Amino acid sequence: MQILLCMLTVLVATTAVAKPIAPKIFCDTYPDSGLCAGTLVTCSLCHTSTSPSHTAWNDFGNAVLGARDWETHFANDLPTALSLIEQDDSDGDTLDNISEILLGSLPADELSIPTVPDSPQGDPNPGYNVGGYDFLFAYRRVSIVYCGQSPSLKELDAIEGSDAAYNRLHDKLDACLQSGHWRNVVLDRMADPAIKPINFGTNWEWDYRLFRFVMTEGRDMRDLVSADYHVREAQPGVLTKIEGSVPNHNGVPCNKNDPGTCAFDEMCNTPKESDDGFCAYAAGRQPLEAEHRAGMLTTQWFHFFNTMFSALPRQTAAQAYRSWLDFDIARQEGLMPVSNEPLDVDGKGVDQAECAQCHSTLDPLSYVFASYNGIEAGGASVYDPSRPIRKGLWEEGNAPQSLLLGQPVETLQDWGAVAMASDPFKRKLALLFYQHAIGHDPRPEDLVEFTALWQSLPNDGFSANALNHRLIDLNAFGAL
Amino acid sequence: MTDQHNSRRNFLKGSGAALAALTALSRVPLARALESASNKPMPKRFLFTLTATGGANLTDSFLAVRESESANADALIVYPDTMVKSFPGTALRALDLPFAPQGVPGYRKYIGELQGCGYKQSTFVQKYAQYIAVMALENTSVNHGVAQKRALTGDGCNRGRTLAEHVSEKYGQDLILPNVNMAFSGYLESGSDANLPAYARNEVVGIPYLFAAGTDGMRGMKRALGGALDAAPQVGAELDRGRALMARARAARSDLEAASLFGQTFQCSSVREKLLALRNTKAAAVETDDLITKLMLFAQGELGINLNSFGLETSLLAAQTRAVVEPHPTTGAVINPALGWPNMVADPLVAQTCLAYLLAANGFTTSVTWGPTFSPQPAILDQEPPLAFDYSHQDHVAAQSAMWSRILDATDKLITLLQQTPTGEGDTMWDRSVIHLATDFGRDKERNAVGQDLAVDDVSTGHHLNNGAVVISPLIKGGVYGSVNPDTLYTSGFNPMTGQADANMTMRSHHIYSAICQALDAPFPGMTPMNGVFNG
Amino acid sequence: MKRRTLIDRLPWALVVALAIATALTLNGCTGCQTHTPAIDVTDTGDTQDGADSDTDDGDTPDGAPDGTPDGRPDSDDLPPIDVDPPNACIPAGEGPSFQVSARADLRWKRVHALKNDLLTAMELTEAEACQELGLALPGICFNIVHLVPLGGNDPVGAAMYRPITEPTVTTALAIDRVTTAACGKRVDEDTLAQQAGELGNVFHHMDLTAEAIEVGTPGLQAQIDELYRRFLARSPTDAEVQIVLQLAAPLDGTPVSARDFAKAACFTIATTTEFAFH
Repeated sequence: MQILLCMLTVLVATTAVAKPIAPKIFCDTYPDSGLCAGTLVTCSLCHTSTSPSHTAWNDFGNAVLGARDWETHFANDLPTALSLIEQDDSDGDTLDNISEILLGSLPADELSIPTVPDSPQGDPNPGYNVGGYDFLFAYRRVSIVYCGQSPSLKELDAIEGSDAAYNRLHDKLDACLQSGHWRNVVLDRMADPAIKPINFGTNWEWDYRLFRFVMTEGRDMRDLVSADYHVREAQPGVLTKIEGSVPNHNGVPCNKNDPGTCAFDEMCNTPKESDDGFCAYAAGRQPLEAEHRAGMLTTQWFHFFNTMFSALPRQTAAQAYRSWLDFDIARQEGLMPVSNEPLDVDGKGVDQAECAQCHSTLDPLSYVFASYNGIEAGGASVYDPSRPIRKGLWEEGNAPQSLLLGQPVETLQDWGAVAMASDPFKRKLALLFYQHAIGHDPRPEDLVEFTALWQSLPNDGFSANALNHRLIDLNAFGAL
Repeated sequence: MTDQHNSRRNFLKGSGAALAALTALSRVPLARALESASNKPMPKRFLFTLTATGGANLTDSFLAVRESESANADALIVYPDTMVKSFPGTALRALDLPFAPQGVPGYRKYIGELQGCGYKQSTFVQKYAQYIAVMALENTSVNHGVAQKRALTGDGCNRGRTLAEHVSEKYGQDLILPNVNMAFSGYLESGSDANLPAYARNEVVGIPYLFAAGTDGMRGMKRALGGALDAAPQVGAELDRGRALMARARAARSDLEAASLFGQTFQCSSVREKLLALRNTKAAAVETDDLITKLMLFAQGELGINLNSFGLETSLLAAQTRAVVEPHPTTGAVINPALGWPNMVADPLVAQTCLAYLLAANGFTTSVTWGPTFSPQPAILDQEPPLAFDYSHQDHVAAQSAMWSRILDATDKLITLLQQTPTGEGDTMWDRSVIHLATDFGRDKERNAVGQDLAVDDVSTGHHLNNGAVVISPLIKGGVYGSVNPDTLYTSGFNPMTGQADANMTMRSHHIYSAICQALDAPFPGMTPMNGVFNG
Repeated sequence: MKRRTLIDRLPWALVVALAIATALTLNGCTGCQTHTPAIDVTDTGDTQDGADSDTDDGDTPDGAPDGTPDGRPDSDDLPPIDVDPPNACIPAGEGPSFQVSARADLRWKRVHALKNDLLTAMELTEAEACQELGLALPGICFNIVHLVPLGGNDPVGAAMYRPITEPTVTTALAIDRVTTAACGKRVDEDTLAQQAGELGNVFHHMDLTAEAIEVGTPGLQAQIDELYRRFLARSPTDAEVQIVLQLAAPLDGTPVSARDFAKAACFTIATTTEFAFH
């Protein structure tokens, strides 16, 4: 009888194939889960493979499968199945599934478990505030992480034992946030994964300047996905806005044998047979008019490198999704499938079962990007609402609905607006600085304070400086 | 690239002497050169992943189609019959495009008069047909970075591990640098298996021809312990003394770690523990095994570098390796004409290939990944167009021709070295090796206009999922697996168990990944048996 | 940080007892000791009946027999065992007497900060501090050859958009190498200065021109103190001074030169994890 039941379970289980709607259902079921705070779980929560030809589950996934006989409505059944296995310990790490889910560790991974280290025992540490927040330790860390240099003995002597340790710590951070190291080195490297430069011209300098500008001086980081301006660097380290169109040159005459007349971000641009010309931006142009801009989503480099020659800019949308919401669709993160998608508007076969799992989210994300040029006449990033029609993606008046995070968007600016209003955006911004300052992703035991960190962004006007001030107060930063 | 005392004239003068010395060293047979190499046991298997970066299209090489074979010859990128070579006993083909005279348009020409290095695909097939397995493949991404990663992870089929990581886990536990990666972009990325042992992770190498310099804490460094004022310790008494002083200093450092309040307070730190362990084990072994000599690619006096004054030497094996890898495939030149520098410095692929072989031959490494980048290389533009294979966006025919020549030339040289290198256990390195020519994806199959003249007009092609994969090894059965439809140029798959073409089969990255792992006797959970591509 | 497993949650001695008992049982040795048919598993702590040396012969705290002499502990013959709790990850009885950090979430000091700290401590410019093979390329050490192992990345040339996450084999060597370079440069520069009758910038507490020194040579302790202040922003303890001072002792019977001592001391202090982590 038991064997029969087992076989039945297996037979029934094999009809319950992977469903990309599952991550959202899971997080709707457990909105307080640390795994869902400002983000979504991925398919790997339950699966070792989601390929339709060889779907496979991990221990937690198998527990979900075996929790009940699956009927036809996966969406309805999954929450029930999850509830039935809450008290189990699928990965055998001694923490039951519901505890792991709430705390934010993976119920199928025995190595993913909030660590409660044994408390220190013995006499008080003679030099460090073990078990508490150590201001000297934190001061040194602030100096290295933000200023790129250790503090001097003199500085540390001034802090030690001081009642004003907290103020000195934050004053140090303020000073470091003005440093060349932070503004010109750290922020550039922080932007690398989003911008992805290659040694093919330097148009991406516009992107780095915009990023650095938004991340400094307490500016609103939502400009990353909404700015209608660009940024120049006429003198090293001095960033200023360019409102409106970006001219081909600034009208400053120059001679190529004496280019010193040009600013730091310019070069002397001369016609072929002449040594005389005008100072022009060394990084090239930004042809997109201001009314169609949305910060880092619409720079020329972004569309040049990501859209390239494709008609439907899926990679462009995926890169934006990854860079600003921390959802890497290539890893099945951020899946929010739209029903009746993908439409496969360009006939690439993305509606095949293997591909649709991700493309049912990705394609709707991409439609509004299609109105911006890739590598084509007119220049990358130029806005052309007829481009999708010209490329044969859809007919006039019949554009498919673009959606981001389940919300309809009609333009790339809408895309940016939805993004910047979302929790994943806030979380991603905090994560950028957290990873830099702490050196790793938030661990399960630190999720609570990390969540509070990104949730504080609206109160602080989305200021990077304010965020970093809160960050250095975290236990993850300075507690021993 | 030269120090302030090194004028071009001086360099060439010094270079001549260096070249002569290098040439003399290179006449030493490989086997004898190996005697002075590391005497460490060879790993049981080697995986060499040479990345055909940017999209290497198989119908422009091993699966080329003749005009006469296609009902749509005018519309597709097919070639005159005389240029598509066939060979007895194999379905593999080669595309040998002719050179064109100056001022005359030609298939191979790009950016003016450049035509590639000229290495013939037919040379490669004639030499290695029995080892070349070309398998039909349908990729799943047309994004370079994503596709590159998927080519190495089999689209995540093995817990997110790259092939290199998986092979390194199996064969690399006792090796100093089991998994070395010198590649670009998505090929450089680590896999996503959090449970992969640390020793199997990528060791990233940025500058191959200077990598040796980073393998010793003091040797070759001016003003290191034991040396005279303002000088590096010389080989012999000075270096021995320096080493002894360094050993004592490191021992004192260990004592400080134990004695200091910091060391005691933070002894529970895993990352600190890791560095301390590395210092005491692998880092020490790297120095003891003299990687700085064995991987030193420079010859004495080259580029004005007086290696001896730094207490450094070149190894016989490095010189022999350069003798095989460095010469231009058609001119035989070892000096880059644009820069006047050795090819080993001017051409990153030369240095990478040399280092890949040396790491493996010395028993340090079981898996190496390397290949061209997208960066324009002005000094070797005549061999490698900007963006490598992706220059097909500008000029498909010329880009594919130039880059296939380049990749196959490097592969030929590597195989030559491997075949001549005994393992000391009765076989050669080649007998244990798999070479994977990983690529991003294929290219569009159509001309931009019906009747477009491929010899005159530049055809621009985009990224295409349909393509094939190339695996070269004595551990696999050479041949074509799957088929090409001559009227569309699309490949279709094969039965993995029999190897027979099956137009209804779609081959994916995990099939290729499985085949490579099967060849290397490195199974994994969920592996697809690929018996059809093996003998017996 | 050590992850607590089930084993970690059990008192240490109990683990030992269970291990012994299990090993004996698995070996089929349930009574095959050489001297007696019954195997005594000595309790390692107090029993509830007050006897300290209860054996596994069936004793219960109430005195009535409750088991067989099979070598396996009976459940009520395993009373609570008094042992000191561990000090964070350090087993009880080991490590220092004072508290150590349980979180111990140190960060590795990457290339820019490492470089800046070395250059500041040794009062050097980047060009002076380190060259490889005499190649005077700007940034040859920190931006080119050792960039990646020291935790940096080249986003444009190699399309490497993220640095390595943890130290690797070449990290350990690169730290040693660039420190060797920086220390060596400063020592030799100060030696030249002293030969010209000046004090030197950093190593001015000792006579760098001396061909042979010993532990008691004047100035060495002050120099060690100077190096600690420059690299670690603190004074050394007496114990630390003594450790570094031993680098002045003859090695293999041959006296150490002042220069070599200075370089060794510099290297030793500047490559400690206290300098390399934060």
